[in-house]
Amino acid sequence: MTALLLAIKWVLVAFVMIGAVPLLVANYQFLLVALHFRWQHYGKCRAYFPRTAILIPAWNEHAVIGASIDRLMKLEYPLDRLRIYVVDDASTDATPQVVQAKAAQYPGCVVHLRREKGGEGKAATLNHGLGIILADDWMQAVLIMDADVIYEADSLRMMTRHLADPRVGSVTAYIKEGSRPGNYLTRFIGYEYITAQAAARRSQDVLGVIACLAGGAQLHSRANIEAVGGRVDTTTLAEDTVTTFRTQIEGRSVIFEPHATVWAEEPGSIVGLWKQRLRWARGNVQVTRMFKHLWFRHQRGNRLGSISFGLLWFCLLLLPAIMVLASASLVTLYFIDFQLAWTAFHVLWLTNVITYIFITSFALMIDPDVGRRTWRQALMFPGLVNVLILLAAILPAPMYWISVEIIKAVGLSPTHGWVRGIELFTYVWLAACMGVAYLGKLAEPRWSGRVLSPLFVYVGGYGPLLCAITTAAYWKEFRHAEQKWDKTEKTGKVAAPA
Amino acid sequence: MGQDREDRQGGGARMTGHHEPARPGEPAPAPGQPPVATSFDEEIRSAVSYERGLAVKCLLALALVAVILALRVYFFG
Repeated sequence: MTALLLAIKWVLVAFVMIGAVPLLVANYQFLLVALHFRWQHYGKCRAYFPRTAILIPAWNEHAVIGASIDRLMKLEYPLDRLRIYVVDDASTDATPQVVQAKAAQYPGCVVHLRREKGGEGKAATLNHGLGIILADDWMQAVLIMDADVIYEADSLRMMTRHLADPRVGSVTAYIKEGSRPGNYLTRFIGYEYITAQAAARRSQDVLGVIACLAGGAQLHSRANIEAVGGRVDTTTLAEDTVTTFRTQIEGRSVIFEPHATVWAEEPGSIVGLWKQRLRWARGNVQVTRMFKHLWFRHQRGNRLGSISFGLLWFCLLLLPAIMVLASASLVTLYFIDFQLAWTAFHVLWLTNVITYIFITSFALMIDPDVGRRTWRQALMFPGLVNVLILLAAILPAPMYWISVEIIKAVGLSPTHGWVRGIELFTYVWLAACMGVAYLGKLAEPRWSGRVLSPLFVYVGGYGPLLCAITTAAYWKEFRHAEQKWDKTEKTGKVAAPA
Repeated sequence: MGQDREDRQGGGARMTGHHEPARPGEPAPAPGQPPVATSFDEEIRSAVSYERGLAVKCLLALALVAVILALRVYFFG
């Protein structure tokens, strides 16, 4: 019986320690960023200006499409090597009129393609355009973008310079959150994009494998788009990720160009964010299943099967499950062996402290411009309660003293039971923070949502909110829920800084 | 003024005309104001230099972690 109990204890400790794996992998990922100066593609770049077809899928984009075309015509790129194809997915607003007016304004540079039967999703819209573009031999490269994004004037030529190397199939840019004036949520997204794009994609560049071309900024050579079948995947919600994987499976490189900046409008509401990220997360689950044969298996000609890439991919995908596992294990351990639970928790949270300080400070330095605007959200990314727990892990004595003083201040007695209660709460919070962040979504449409919704996100955490969305994606995929393309609403409030 | 702008004034003759593919390394034509070869080299140097700077920033972040851990061990342990 004692041996069984001992075994259970150590299994539970192991489960808690699994919670540290995503943290260690995140640190590893950021350390790789520091090596990007050695393992990047600039040595093989040339000034190269292939004839580029810009493909824009558009459904009811009249608010943004005209300005987007105007900005594209101002790119630092030879205009005779640029054509804009707007695939109008049976829009019911003024999109066709706006695009036709631009086609008249920029003769020969703007092409309006109309789909009479729409609503089949972005991938089907892209395939309509790709079919037409590939039918003639003018195009040497195709840039797939969204209708609302703003390309900085030098961004396209910074991307095309990598295609001078014929081994490169695709190039992606650094998408930045550009909503102005923006709100707390767009600033969270702004910071998130430093970590998820500027940092994560640099590290993937170092590893020689990219997880996903940004949907709004993917440049493909003609040879590559033909090699992947001349069309994008329509069976999943992550057609950009599938194209990225197929490009690398075909033996071509995918490059992240961090200095090519593209500004995008991101959701300013949790409901909008939920819709967008649920689509992304479900797409990732589907991609994981679709390419199940390659995880952690050596692949000839690409590094998709490398251990590093597999760890990066699965730590992100399984993070909510890992958090729940660690939390449940800690709570169980608390009732079996209080002291062992405390030790395991302490080790986990010291790892968390190191990760938090390293990643937050480094991320803010990776993109100081965005960092200056989003440092508060960076600090609060894990949520207020988690930040307090982190502080307690760094400064146990002062935090204990503060806790005791607070308990006294509210007229209670700081008994041993209180302290143990707080400890149990912190174990539960590891998973419960996702639920609290989710309350932000529930509160948002209500009359009190204006105050309560940000409050729940700040207390629960933006990171845990993303984990809650991933959990919802697991559930939707498990139930084989309907797979519909919920387009993110764009209003044209994106602006590149002057 | 390069051929592109002339084409534009001609009403989009580029659409049907024959296009020489751009070759890697060749300087860009004029209209969209792409950089000349020297500034291309400068841009590459600047990009690599920025990436090198990130290695230094990474060390700074690690130093911050070390300082906080040292404070934790020696003063708040």
